[in-house]
Amino acid sequence: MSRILFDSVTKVYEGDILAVDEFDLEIEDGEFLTLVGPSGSGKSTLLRMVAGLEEITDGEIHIGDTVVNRLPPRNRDIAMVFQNYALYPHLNVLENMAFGLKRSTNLSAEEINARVEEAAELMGIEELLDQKPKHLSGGQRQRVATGRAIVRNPAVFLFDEPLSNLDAKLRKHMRTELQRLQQELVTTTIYVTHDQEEAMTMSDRIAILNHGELQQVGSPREVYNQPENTFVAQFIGSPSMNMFVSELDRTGERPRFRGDVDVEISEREAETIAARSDADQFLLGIRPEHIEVHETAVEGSVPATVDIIEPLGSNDLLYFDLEDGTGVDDVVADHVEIGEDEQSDEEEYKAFILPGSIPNSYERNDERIYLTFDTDHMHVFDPETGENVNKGRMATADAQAESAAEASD
Amino acid sequence: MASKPRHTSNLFGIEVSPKVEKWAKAVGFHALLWSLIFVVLLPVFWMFIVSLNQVAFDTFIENPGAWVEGASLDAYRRMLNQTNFPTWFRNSAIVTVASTVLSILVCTFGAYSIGRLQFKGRKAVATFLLLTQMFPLILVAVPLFLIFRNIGLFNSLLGLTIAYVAFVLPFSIWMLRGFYENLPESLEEAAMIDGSTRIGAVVRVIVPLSAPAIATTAIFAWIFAWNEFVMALILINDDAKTTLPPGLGSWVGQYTLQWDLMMAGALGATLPLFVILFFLQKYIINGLAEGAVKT
Repeated sequence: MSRILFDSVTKVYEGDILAVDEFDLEIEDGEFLTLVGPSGSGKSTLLRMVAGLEEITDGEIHIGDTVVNRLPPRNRDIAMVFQNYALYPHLNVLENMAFGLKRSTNLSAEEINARVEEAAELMGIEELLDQKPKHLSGGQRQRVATGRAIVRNPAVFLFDEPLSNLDAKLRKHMRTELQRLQQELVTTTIYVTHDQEEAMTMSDRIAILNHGELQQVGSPREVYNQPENTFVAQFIGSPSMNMFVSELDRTGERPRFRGDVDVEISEREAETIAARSDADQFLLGIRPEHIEVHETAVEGSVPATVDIIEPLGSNDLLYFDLEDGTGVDDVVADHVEIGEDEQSDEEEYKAFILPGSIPNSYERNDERIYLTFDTDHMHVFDPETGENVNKGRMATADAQAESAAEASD
Repeated sequence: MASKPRHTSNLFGIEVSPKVEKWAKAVGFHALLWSLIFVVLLPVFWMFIVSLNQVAFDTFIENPGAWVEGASLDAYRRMLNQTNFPTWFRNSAIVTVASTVLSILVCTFGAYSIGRLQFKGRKAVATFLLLTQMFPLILVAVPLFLIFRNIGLFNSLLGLTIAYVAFVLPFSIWMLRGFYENLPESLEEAAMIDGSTRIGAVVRVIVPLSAPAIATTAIFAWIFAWNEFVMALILINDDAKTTLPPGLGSWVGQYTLQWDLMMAGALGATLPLFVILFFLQKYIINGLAEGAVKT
């Protein structure tokens, strides 16, 4: 068990490719931290620098109280699970798991065997100990790889997308299993994944990376409910957040947003937003679950047409088009990332509906639907910087909700 | 096929029962196989015939009985007792084993460093190695002779061994390097995290996994050293220090040629290769079939 400290860690690959830029983060003792980001965001590079498989160009990494920059991997007291498991093909499961103990400890053969058996039992692979890796299924290999890591009882676990080679069902199962294991062992863990769902479900805290820069660190709830910028807002959560373009209008009696979405906001909010940004158009971020869809016009509703309705089981996902929406791409600055959907040619607006509440005949039809928005869960982003300019409000709203929930318990 | 009665089939337009068809196919297959083997082994067979009794081919065909009457192990006896054959054989064995072992040792790590480690000039070294393969052996023979004479390696088995290693290395390194590049890097990384040094990771993980490739390289080095003629002829001029190929060559006299002795020597020189290939080849096939790495 050890805390890990990144102190302005920078990695520049040959040919001046900046993989990680001035990364600062402290991971507490026994914490499960997930590094998440799209490919090329530098998350694997960070993990490999902790492991000692990649040199650190600048800055320091501490494990416990030691600066590990110059330590070879074998002296860092870490264990790593690789994406392709990296089981030694010429050794059986027992030998694979004992490999590290033989190299890094002075334990006798019996002690090693006892510890391997203990770990094998924990992973449910006792029967496989004399098998060679090639005879194992994907899930079994994954278990052996994890078993090989836990048997050494290291200070830090490093996971490099360990579940991405498994099929969806097994992945979900192993997810819970790994999480349970980590809670049992209370070992500091860094887990790298590009799957935000994995990050959300497993971690104590999530660190979101993009282009080698840390975007936000926080608990899964925090990064979901209070994204610091458009990238985090779009990356975390599936389906991703809707982005509407609206203008802040403070000429009337009460300030309001006009544009794709028309909503009234309080004077204080308008003040905060105006204080943080001098843009006139803003991106309003609203998650699909915070949009209500009506068949008839209600007060303050916005008309839209249905593109497609995807049944998901407990609820349906409705894709809609706004009557005269402003394209987000026309508004945001070039350097502002609006997340994964950037690649798709058209913006997709989504809302969750109850199954059957909107007839399927509305799909690709001129029938109108009417949307109302839960403004308590609306995020306002500056299109120039991509930053969330009313994040504080969300924090208070959440705190209130949480204390209310606690009070009712 | 399905419309025909089950118990007959058609072989070259003749209706036969399936049993006959199977048998006929087997006979045809084996006839072809054995005739090919016969073509390949005929020279070896003829070496054997002549080594026992010096005859001409047509005499042997006309009257094999005469050959049987005159057959004796006399040539072998002379080879072992009246010539330097045993010494040459020993020298060949020493040079071959030494250069094979040495080149495997060097090329295992050399190929690894060129294939895996990141250092300045890695590509240049790799290309340079390949470049050396472009020169025919005979081209460097004279310079090599002068250099070896100056540094005192002339006329010694050590010198010959070094020369062989130098010639085998480039090819072996390139071959092994290609194999290493197909091994997932995470294997060594896992070993290094598990407490090995990099060299330890190579010895404990990479070498066992590349055993088939190393065996192939070993065979290559072995055959090269065992058969090499020119270098041995130039770098050794003491009859007691020479190896088999130039040794056997010295039996070719200006006016006489003892065919039976020559063939006995040739057979004696071929035997070790037969044995080695027989064992290592089996090993290679096993290694490849096992498919040591799957990612």
